[in-house]
Amino acid sequence: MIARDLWIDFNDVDATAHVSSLLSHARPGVAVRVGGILFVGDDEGNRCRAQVVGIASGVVDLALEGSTFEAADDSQVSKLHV
Amino acid sequence: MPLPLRKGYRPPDDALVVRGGRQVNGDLQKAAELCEAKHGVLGVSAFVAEVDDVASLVDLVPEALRHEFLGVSSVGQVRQHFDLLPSFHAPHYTIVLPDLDPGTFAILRTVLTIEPNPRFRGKPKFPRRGTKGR
Repeated sequence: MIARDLWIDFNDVDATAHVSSLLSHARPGVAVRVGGILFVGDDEGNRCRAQVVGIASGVVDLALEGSTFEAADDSQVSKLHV
Repeated sequence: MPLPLRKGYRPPDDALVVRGGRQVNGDLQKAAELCEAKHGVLGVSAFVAEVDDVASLVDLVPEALRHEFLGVSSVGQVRQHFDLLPSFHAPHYTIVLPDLDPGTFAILRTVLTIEPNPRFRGKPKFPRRGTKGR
């Protein structure tokens, strides 16, 4: 599985496939810049590709590429610490 | 921007509440941090509707509830522990958390029963860009 660049909450994805995150929720060392493509996802292991469409005051706005969504696999889920 | 709130409708205690995912601490903490940074409220997204079953609620917001598992509850159960704010566009609500303590997350997990998503397909499709949404 490809490492996650930036955390998102899929519950926050709107009907136009846009979602926000925080710069502080990016993997250390990841370059978050407008126009860049990132692998985003949650701590369960759900993943998706997304393009950065805006950054302001530490908030990152993203447009998800929905066809790239991959649900968490069982091996990832088994590592979760609630 | 303050959290956009809707007025005029208070869902009954038996209305369904759904939040996508297994509600692990890391996701709950980061979701609450994001909500506080954007809207000044420590909270997490959920969806509420007076529908007969979970599948009917997922059908209202398929782009947001794509998880294999969902946290499911009722308005009455959630309100026993947390404030529930009608936010953005229906059926979106915000469950307000008092703090980021793991004990608070544990209480939320006792409220949200984890169930398989009846609409889970592994790789769901987004609606086309430009469709109207919240």
